[in-house]
Amino acid sequence: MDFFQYAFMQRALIAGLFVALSCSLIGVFLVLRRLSLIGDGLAHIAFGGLALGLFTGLPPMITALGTTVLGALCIQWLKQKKVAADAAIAVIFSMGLALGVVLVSLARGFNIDLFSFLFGSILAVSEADLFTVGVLGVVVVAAVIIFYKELLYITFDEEAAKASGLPIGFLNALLMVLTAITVIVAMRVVGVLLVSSLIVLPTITVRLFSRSFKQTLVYSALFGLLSVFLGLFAAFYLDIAAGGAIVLVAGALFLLVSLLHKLLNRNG
Amino acid sequence: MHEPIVEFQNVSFSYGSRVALQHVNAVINKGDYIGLIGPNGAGKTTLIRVLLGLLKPSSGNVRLYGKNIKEFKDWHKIGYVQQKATTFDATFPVTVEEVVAMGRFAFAGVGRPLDHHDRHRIGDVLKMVGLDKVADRRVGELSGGQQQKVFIARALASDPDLLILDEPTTGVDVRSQHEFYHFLHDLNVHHRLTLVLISHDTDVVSTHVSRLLCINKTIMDHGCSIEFLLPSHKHNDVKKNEQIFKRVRHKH
Ligand SMILES: Nc1ncnc2c1ncn2[C@@H]1O[C@H](COP(=O)(O)OP(=O)(O)O)[C@@H](O)[C@H]1O
Ligand SMILES: [Mg+2]
Repeated sequence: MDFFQYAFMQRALIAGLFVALSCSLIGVFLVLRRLSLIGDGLAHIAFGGLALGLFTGLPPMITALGTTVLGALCIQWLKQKKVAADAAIAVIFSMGLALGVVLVSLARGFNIDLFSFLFGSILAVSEADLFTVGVLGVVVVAAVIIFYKELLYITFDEEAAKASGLPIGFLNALLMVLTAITVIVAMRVVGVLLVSSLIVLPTITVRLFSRSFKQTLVYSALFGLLSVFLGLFAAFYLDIAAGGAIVLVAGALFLLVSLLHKLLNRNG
Repeated sequence: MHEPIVEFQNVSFSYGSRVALQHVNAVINKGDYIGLIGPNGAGKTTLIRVLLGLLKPSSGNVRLYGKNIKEFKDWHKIGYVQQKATTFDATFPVTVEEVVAMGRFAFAGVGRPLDHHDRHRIGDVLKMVGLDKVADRRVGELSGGQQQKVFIARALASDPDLLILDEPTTGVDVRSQHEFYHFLHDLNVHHRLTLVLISHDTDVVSTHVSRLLCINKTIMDHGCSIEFLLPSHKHNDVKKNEQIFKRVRHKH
């Protein structure tokens, strides 16, 4: 198949693999803790960080990573100050956007590079991008495996986890930082405006039928991979925007699974 | 003989300006089966959250196993079943076995998966509470009584020495309650667990426990006065309460 012969397509597939895995795994914890919107909030911070990079001439992926991790820790800090989670996210959300907009206006207008970060440009992933995405993706997946037990416990029952002596403050901050990293990994591929759907859709699809937590993680990863790869195929052959195609496929899979679930439950 | 495992020394706690605990002094000894009773809002749950280190007392001291709570590290020794443990999101994808396994996490340490011995203990407690047949079911699918058992099994899985149950029988039918108290008695006598059973229902609890601690912001020194118990329950009358306290006193 000619699909695999192009170097840009190979890079896109490898980047897509890391994006799919980190988004869908982190998504399980975020959705179950009712923090689905955090991905969106952090993506807006990432936008501010990108604008900062493009404005100052520093590497945009790095400035975006820095500001997003900082924003994630701010959300955590606001929550500890008893600010409701949704309010904390809303604050961070608009601060990031405000920073981005001010910087863009200072730079006198939209630059083409910023646009590609808004909607993703997986087909234009460079070797350097691929390296960053790969390292960050491995960090997220490894952290989820290493802290699997602890993250499960705080997700299901934070109070009991705390009573059993787990370091709750550290674990919550860890989840926030991992979310920030995930947003950066996904940004290059699906773009900041579409990140949160790739975080949320695999999990809500799998929740329709899964019984165990382990099953939820594994199947979410599978649905994430399926969405990214099918989306890339569609983008390549139909010549459409890859980020949009990936998210539409994820949405279509959700609809398909809910229909199947309804049909099977009626018969069984 | 009396080995104190929990000591409250003049503990006070307030939520903002609302005083919840005032100069609480109490000792729980190894092997005790204590009924912590008091009307709704008396500070029972607050006292337990202070004991577990979830809340810091505004003044006073808590000692656990002879150590100041700040130096205490063996949290697995204390099993805790929250009030309304069963009001979690019923659609949460987690199996009975996965929830009970959480009780072993304190032992496993970060990064280490549960081992053979952990799995064995999980199997044991599942059998003990009679949930081995439904181990693979999603917790939200079980009945309220079964869910209560899941959380008790989780607390037992950490091999606790002290088990604290905060109003565990709310929403459990009377027949199952009978069975439940039998089970607790067995834990106390045969498995040598120290038990703290919290309730606002003096009637039932007092027939099972070996010592009553009555609380209404502070621990009542001379047991529970009759007026103190009156408002909480419609079928409580003075005579009945007198009998209850005779029964409990008789036991120890
Ligand atoms: N998180 C909280 N914030 C403010 N006040 C609280 C909080 N939790 C409990 N209280 C108050 O503290 C008092 C004791 O509550 P609690 O310990 O839950 O009582 P009990 O468990 O005996 O019913 C009550 O007046 C209650 O309203
Ligand atoms: Mg209570």
